[in-house]
Amino acid sequence: MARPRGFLRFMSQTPLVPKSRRWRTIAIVAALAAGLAYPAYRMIESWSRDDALRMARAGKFVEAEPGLRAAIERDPADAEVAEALARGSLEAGRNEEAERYLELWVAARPDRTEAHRALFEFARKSKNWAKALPAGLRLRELEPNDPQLTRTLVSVAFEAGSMDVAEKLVRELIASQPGNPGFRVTLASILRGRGDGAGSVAILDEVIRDQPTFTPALADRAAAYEESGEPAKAIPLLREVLKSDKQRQRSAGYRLSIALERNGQHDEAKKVLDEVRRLQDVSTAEEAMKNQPGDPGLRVRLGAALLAAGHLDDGVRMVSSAFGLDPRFAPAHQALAEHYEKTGQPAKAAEHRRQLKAP
Amino acid sequence: MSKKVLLVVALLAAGCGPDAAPTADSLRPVEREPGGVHFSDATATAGIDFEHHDSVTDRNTILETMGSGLAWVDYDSDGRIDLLFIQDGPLPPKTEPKPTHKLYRNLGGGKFEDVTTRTGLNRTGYGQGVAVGDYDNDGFDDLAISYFGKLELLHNVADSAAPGGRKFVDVSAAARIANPHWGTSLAWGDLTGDGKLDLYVCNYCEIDLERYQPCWNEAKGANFICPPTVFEKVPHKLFTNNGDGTFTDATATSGIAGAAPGGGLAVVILDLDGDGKQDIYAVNDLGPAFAFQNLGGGKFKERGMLSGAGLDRNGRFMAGMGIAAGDIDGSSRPSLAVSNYQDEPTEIFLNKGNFAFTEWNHPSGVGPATLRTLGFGIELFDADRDGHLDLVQANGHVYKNANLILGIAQPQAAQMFIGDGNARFREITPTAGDYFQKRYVGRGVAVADWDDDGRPDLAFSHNAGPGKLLRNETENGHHGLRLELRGDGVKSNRNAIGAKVTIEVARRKLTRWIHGGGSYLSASDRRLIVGLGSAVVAEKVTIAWPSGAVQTITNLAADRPWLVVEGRDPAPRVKP
Repeated sequence: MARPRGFLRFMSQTPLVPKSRRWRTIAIVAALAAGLAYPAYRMIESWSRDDALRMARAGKFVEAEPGLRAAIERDPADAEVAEALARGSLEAGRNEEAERYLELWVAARPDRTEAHRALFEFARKSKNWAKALPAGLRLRELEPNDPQLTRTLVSVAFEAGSMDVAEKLVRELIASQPGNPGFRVTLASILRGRGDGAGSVAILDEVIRDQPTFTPALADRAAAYEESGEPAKAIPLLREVLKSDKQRQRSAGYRLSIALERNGQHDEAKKVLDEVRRLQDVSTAEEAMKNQPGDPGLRVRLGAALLAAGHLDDGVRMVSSAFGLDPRFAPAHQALAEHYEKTGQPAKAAEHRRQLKAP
Repeated sequence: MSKKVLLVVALLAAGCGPDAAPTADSLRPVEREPGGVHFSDATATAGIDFEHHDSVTDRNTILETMGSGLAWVDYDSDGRIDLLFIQDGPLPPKTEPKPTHKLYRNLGGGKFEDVTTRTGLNRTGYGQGVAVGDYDNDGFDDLAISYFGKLELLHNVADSAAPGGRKFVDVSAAARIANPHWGTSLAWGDLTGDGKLDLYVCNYCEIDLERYQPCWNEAKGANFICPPTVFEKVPHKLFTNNGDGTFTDATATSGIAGAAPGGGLAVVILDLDGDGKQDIYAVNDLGPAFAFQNLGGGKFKERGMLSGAGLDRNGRFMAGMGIAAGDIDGSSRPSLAVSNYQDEPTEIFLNKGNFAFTEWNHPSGVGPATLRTLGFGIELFDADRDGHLDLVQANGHVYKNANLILGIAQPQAAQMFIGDGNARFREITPTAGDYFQKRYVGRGVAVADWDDDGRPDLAFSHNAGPGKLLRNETENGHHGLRLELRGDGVKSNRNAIGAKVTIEVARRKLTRWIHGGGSYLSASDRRLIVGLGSAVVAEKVTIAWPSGAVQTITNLAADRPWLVVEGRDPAPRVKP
């Protein structure tokens, strides 16, 4: 049998206390200790929580986190702690935990815009439309005069598939700014989403009549023509978008190529598509390069693929970028020599061959 | 005394212990919609114990995140569908024992038996995809399995000692089937119109495991799965069936090699333009999808981008992972659904006829709902038997360290959508069953009515996780037409892959196809379950066989399995 230790051993063995009373005394002392320990513990907890909050606010989230976690476990309605945990988790890129703490924060502070805004922004960026929409609508109740919020909410409702909400909100925006073509094009998209193709087209036609070069309307109207099997009508609209909207080069080019193809203009369709493909190939190669930025071999391989696809300037640029990592990188000289030989540029080819042989 | 000890003392004094904090993966109670689609997890009770090998290495190679597929195959032709899970294995330098695929024989009564070894499927390698097809028209399904670095053709042969009297024998060499590349999804289909099944194999990318250079995230101080764009590609493969047990590599002669090589992950073979010839639609990870139009004579023209189903709406490459095909809008044309990367929508391409597609992800409702997931396996099937195709998608990120790199978990819940027949879908994941509330690293999904109750069930494969078997327990009073088609084995392949079935019921016309491939690395059952809603009889069933023959059947009763052999009257499918 294990022998009692420390205080218990002392109490059980000391001759100063009669044996019959020893255990009663032990019990009383223990009860007193427990009675004192609990308030003391709560006090320590409180210090610990406050310390953790101070640390979190001082930007020391890693150190603060254990204390904050303990505090939120004790009291999930502790708004300050929930906020600190939410902000820290967001900062650390731990999105799943951030979501949990944002929800606790909102629950603890149902009337605070800050908490709702944080949850709304988080859910929106995470493309969690089902969560973003109610959070945003609640935020709008708290901040009814924020037009930017309403604009954002329209797109959130649209993505969430809540077309009735989206329509109601965008109609409010149109009422406040009747001349805004963007709002009307958005309404057209919503109507299309609701299955009201005719209503959607009527609005787009109205916008185009008012502003014939407003490219979002042109692009959407062209899409409607494509859907209704009228590629010939889509073509001039898409040409206009391609000409005047630098942001829509790829999408307009792609859709123009399809419209041309469906309209029997195969050669031009291929030509337009080649340019779309070039834009896409180059952007994909550049993106790929970022994954292994220090690998000259990858640059040569990607550049060679661009050359093979006929994107000559882009290919040469990509292959040559390998010299930035290794000025004497033989595979790059080899690829360029072959390219210049194929394209009838013997002098340049010879220079790269010479570099290849150089010691 | 430490704080920890104090905490324990205080909690004990207060008479309570700390509650476990809810975890992201914990199960939420599922509220079942009355009459709504509902699946229960039958994995354990059915005797399925497959565990996909975790081939993770500290190099985070792209190979180890792909997972492997699964197939529904009635290998012994007893009318009960059996279940095959494909396995991968340890990557160098690891030398642990290599796990094998697993074949589970359906015993009926909701039970399966592991018959892997006795059927010759205790095969190893870095397995990826599987396709089921009776390439020699002998009445028994054969298998094509893709691996990293090889391709196997397994012939289904008689063996009285084997369960069901059948086993598989590797005939790859004799059949001249070879693919030393990284094959992924594959599909059988009669692409030459000669009544014999040909084989299409997607190739992903070329990697050198010995000299693998991981991709590095500077900000997070960690490596991660490289995108396929940093690797070289090779063309996909097409093997045409010579009819004598051998195949011809027709990759070059068919025009398949003429398309710029892409990182192929999924393929479906079916007649996209309604001209009676089987076309090929294959998706490439970060490259344009291929839509090979069958010109006849074994020749194909690649029309992916100009068809409208090659890129996303904005003219960007898709990260095409899986494909589902079916008539989702009542047009009697097969539309396409393509699962996609995180933050990218699952694409829906409506088939407008004449090899023209319109992108429809947002209006369908599927696009916005899939932005938060990384989709792989995908299937269109009629879960609630209302006559409209529904959609299921397996999800799971490719980064094992997604938490570190992206702040999200790698495992993701699968999603379930109910279709309305007008190309619009409603997500019902929260009420679809417990499985849909849990997160897995989902990869393959395949459909089959494994318990023969007339409702289509599901099975999933997960990377480095358990195989899962779900039972459809939807109770809504709907009926279904159950059809197994068998071609004549001469002009039509016996599997009837390529058949188009039109069902007329209650003034509705429903169109279904038996197609090759689909999903991701996986194979669904070919047998059709066509929801009839409240009707108990299909008034008219028209079958356009691959041979071109058209057969019409009238007044076919619902809720019983029918076997239709080309040119003969339907007969009830009898089980032993």
